[in-house]
Amino acid sequence: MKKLNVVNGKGAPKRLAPLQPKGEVAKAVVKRGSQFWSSLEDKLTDAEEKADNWKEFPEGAEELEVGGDGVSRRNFFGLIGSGAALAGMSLTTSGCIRKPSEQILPYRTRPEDMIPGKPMYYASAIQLGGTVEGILVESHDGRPTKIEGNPSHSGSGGGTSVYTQAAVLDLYDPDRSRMPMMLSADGAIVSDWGSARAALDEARGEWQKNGGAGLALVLPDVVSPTDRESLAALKARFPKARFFNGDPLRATRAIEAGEMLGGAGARYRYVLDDVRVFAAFDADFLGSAFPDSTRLAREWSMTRQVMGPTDEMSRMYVFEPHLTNTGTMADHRRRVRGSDIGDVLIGLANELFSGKYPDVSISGSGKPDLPAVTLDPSVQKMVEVLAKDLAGAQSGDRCKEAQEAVEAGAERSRYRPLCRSAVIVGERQPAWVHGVALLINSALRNTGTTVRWRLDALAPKVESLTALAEGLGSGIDTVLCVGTNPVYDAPADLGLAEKLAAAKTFHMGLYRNETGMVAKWHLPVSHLLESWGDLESSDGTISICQPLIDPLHDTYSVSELLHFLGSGELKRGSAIVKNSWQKKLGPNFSEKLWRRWLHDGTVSGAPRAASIPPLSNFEAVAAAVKKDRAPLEGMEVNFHVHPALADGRFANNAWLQELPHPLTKICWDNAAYLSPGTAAELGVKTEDMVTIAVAGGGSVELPVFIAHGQADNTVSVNLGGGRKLLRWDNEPGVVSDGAGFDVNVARTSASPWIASGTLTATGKTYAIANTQDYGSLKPPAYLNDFKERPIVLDATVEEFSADPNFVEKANLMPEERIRHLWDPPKLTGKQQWGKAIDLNTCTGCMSCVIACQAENNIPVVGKEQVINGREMHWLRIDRYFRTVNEEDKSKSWEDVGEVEAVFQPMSCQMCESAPCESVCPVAATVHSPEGLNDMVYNRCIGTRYCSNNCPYKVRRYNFFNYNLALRPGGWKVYRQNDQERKELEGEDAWIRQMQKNPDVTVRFRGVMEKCTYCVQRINAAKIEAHVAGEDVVPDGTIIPACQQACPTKGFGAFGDIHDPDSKVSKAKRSPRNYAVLRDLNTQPRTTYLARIRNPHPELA
Amino acid sequence: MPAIFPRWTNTIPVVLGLIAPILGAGAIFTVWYYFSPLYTDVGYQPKQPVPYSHKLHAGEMGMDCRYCHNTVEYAAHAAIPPTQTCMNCHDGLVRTTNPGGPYEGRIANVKKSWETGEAIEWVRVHMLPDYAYFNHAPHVAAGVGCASCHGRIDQMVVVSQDQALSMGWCLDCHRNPKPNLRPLDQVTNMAWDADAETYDPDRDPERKRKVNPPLHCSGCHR
Repeated sequence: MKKLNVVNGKGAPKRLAPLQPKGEVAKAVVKRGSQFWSSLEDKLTDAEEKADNWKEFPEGAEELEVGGDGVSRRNFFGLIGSGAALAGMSLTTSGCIRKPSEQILPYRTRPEDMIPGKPMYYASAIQLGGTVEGILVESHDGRPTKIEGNPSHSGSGGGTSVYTQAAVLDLYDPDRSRMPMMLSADGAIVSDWGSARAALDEARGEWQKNGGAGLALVLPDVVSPTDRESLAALKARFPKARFFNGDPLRATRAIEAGEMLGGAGARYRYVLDDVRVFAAFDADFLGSAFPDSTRLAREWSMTRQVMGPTDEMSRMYVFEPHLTNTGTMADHRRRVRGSDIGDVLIGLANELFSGKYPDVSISGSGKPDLPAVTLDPSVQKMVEVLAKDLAGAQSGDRCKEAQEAVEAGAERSRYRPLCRSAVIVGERQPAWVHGVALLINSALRNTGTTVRWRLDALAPKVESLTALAEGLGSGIDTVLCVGTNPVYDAPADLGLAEKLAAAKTFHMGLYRNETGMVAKWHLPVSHLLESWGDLESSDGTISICQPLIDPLHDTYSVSELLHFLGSGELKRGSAIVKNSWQKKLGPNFSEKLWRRWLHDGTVSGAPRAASIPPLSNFEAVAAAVKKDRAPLEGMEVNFHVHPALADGRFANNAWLQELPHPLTKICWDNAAYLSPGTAAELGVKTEDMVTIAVAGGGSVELPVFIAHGQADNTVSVNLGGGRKLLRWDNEPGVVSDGAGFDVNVARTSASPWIASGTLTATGKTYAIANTQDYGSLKPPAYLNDFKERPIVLDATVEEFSADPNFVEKANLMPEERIRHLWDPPKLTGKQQWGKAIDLNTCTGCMSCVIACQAENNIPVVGKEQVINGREMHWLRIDRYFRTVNEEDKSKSWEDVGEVEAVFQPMSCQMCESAPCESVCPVAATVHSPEGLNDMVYNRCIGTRYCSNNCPYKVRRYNFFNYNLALRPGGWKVYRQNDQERKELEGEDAWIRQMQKNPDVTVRFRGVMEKCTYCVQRINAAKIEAHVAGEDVVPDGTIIPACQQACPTKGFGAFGDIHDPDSKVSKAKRSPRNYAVLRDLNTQPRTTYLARIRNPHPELA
Repeated sequence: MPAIFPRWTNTIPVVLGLIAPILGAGAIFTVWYYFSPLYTDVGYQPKQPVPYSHKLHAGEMGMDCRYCHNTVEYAAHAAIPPTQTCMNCHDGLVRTTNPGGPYEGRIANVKKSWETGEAIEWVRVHMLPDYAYFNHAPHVAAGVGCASCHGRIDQMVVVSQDQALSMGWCLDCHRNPKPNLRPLDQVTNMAWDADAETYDPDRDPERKRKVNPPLHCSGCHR
């Protein structure tokens, strides 16, 4: 052991004064970096106070006693006692020597290519709203356990959205419907498919007679070619049947605007490949719920990958009422009320068409006749700059010039020349706003490049739920809700609950939900991973969906049911889909082709009528603006799709419920988001209950949460809370029960997304589970001399080019002042693993968090335990705010207005000199020769010293045996002396267990755990290489779950840092590369690439 | 004042001093020996649903291990063969299916599985804890013989556990793998005798890489 320099203060060097960053740029970067705060409390508490309150775990995590109906200490010991008694019993019965006897059940005939214990991958596709993502599903011995993106599918590109990652958990949800249920006079009773079919057949007989008069189908966005055929067949047979859209995630208003310009069936999508200037108007296109968000995020990230100071980078302007992922990544963001977004866009159009920019015009159409608008001066200034930027993006045809330069031999500094622009509008905005954006995009020559059109002639014509509500009771008497939940999703003023209860309603869905409860018949449908189908994505890529497993319960898929409704034949999906394609391709179809489609996950060689609708009718936009534009006075209520629960369809998915909201970090709930100023004005603070009453609609009571970046005089609420669903045994859904508040009761069908309303405090309070202050990386003042120690570094493009080495100069602790307290571990491995994360392209979409949870068997702990700070996520996405003009100290908390925010994924940093290892009394966390910080569960005795000593706060402790019942709060069951309930829990646990990754240990109570860099994947790759006789694993073979899920590949690179040619080494050589808390000499293997912002010089 | 304790009690400390170390050593020995996998696990020989004899198949008939355990080179598990593998031969063999013959009923469970499609419920013999991830493939690729861990299976009528399979036992070999390595074509040879043949894996031209077994925790635990 090397002699220590610092021992008991003896021989300790004199405490040295902190260094100053070198150079103006570094100084500014450090100053700005240390201005970040994670929450209002964090911002307002000064350093001394923090020192007093500094704790190893968040408040409450270490206390055993929990309030409410949690387990008291006494009960807990009772539990331990009974556990010990049971253990004793099993010891005696097993004769004290053997482990429990295990059986091995081989196949009768093993399927070809199947190797027990080796995962297999099948290509399929998943749909959410109109978005289709190609997926590869990992199957362990017949159990699908994990969903990855299909790299050869355009909608995925290898990454996935957060919903796709979590979808596998729904398959194993014990609360899913298992058999048809019929509503009788005594409530719902369990029935069977025979009776259900008889009821459907009887109804079909009637439609046969009257041509389907009175029949209504409430459909999701149907993008499956086979389902469209089934619907066409149904329409042909029952011509009077009507179709309604019951999918809140369908891009209804964008489609409306598209059809306004391009005629019926005209659809457009954004393609952001080489965009130089983005302008997002209430469009969270980097958030998971936006159509094609995974593809858009990937394309967007291509324009943000800046390795050196000369690389070109896009600029993004965002106008929105509520801070979103997109707003966080913006270079310029303004808080604008949702109802004013349209005016800002009109302002932009007026500016562009004012004659200043001769290039900007719509061919064959004059200057649009838009009304004059008055904007806030700061917004007006930004709009003017934006107009200049947009017009300049492709002035002189930069694309062509750049292309010619490359052809002439100029070195291409980046992926592609950035020479386009895109004006993007979100679904919440009315159709006329989309129309104005299309107008601007056309004038900017974006049609065909960043805004691409296609004619979707086969799309079924659907009506709105408002039309359904009008039709019910006046014509419509039978409603089939196919995978939709109109009772919950529709604004309450439509009164669909009563109307559907009065009608003859069939509900087909995964869960017996709000609609299923009022329906005469509830028919369970198969999960995506249990069903055949096909899906066509917005760009025309078609994928065949193949099942990974036979239906776990007695269910039929949506495709099978739709086919039955049309044809009267209830048959299995494989035949339906295959026959449909056979018919389409005729003699060109072959078994070989079909198998190729299944293998690739995309359909190739199918004839396609690609037609682009001609755009005309630009005058309609101005007319629509005149007709529909209306100011909104007073408090504005904004409804948003939940970033994790979507419209509520994932409410019984425990992973997504416990996933913190990307910006507010709330989980298990939804809240009324208010800006600090508005909250102060109303006299409410976080966790106060308020009643939101919507003009012309209902009201909802929910807790306030002060959210930064929220526009003043607005309140934002998320859909998806307060779901109700009943299992077949009439127990409520375990996960969704009591999680959040149903805000649909307040919505109106006239203005479902943005409405005026009032907010009144009720005087009550409510506990919100919020993780924003957990795992603070800022140590108390007394532990550190350095007041300014930035965790996140960011610089502007100008600063970066002025001083490319700003990161190195911002280092406040040079090597010569750093001393090792102990000998560093011997890193003798042939390969040394490391990771680089690019903060420039991390959009905070949270896919990686769920991917990590799915891959590593991470338990869900429930709201109570999250409040106690015991959440188990190995990977968290830290989010920091900084007030714009932070220097202005005179501002109090109410005045925190415009904020800038950053995301920083934080998991085990794999320190080479790891503080956790030196304090473990049992060597349960030790270093591997390849630089991994190994966590050995079977050695861990749970002292939690390691967590205490971890400066990054990334270690998680199993305070309870969360896996006992494999459901949140499951351990509570043991307090109830209810035999039947226990048995049921056992059966449910069997279903739940099937999701677990067999390559990762399921941890028990009392064990510390943390990110392992997915060591199971490293080992699998190493074994494969070793068996093949290779010593090293080729670069790119090992992809950790987080990196694989990342839509933007912002998770940078993972690989061997000793190989100079590996992707990770290249990333780490970037001048932006820095280690968090480098001054602690932990020498982390995970490093970050500092974020670069690209503000417009005139707005800086 | 009469003595409270009689005089013989004076011997108690002496006797205790003599006996306690013996008892203590005995307790330590008991735990060390009787609680070890070497004592508890070696020789474990559960009754199997089918009286399958490795001695007959692998020994007398000389079938290669990989005819049945054919995934051993590719996967973590040396999978128990599907019923199909049994029926490759037994479907046509009269001897075992002949009613009234000496072997009647021996493969009743195999036939049942073949007819019904249900699995034969074999009892697992070699069990590692769930947190230990053993993988056959790299061991076979490194030239560790089947017999090194499983013993002379070809001489077992009913399979029993031959080695302790404890962590210490694993590490003995991981620290010094050479004595347990053999030519790559001798892996399934039950009778290969390391002592009789002098084999140096470092000089074997057939080997593409030097065997370098992991000693760190995440090599096996994750």
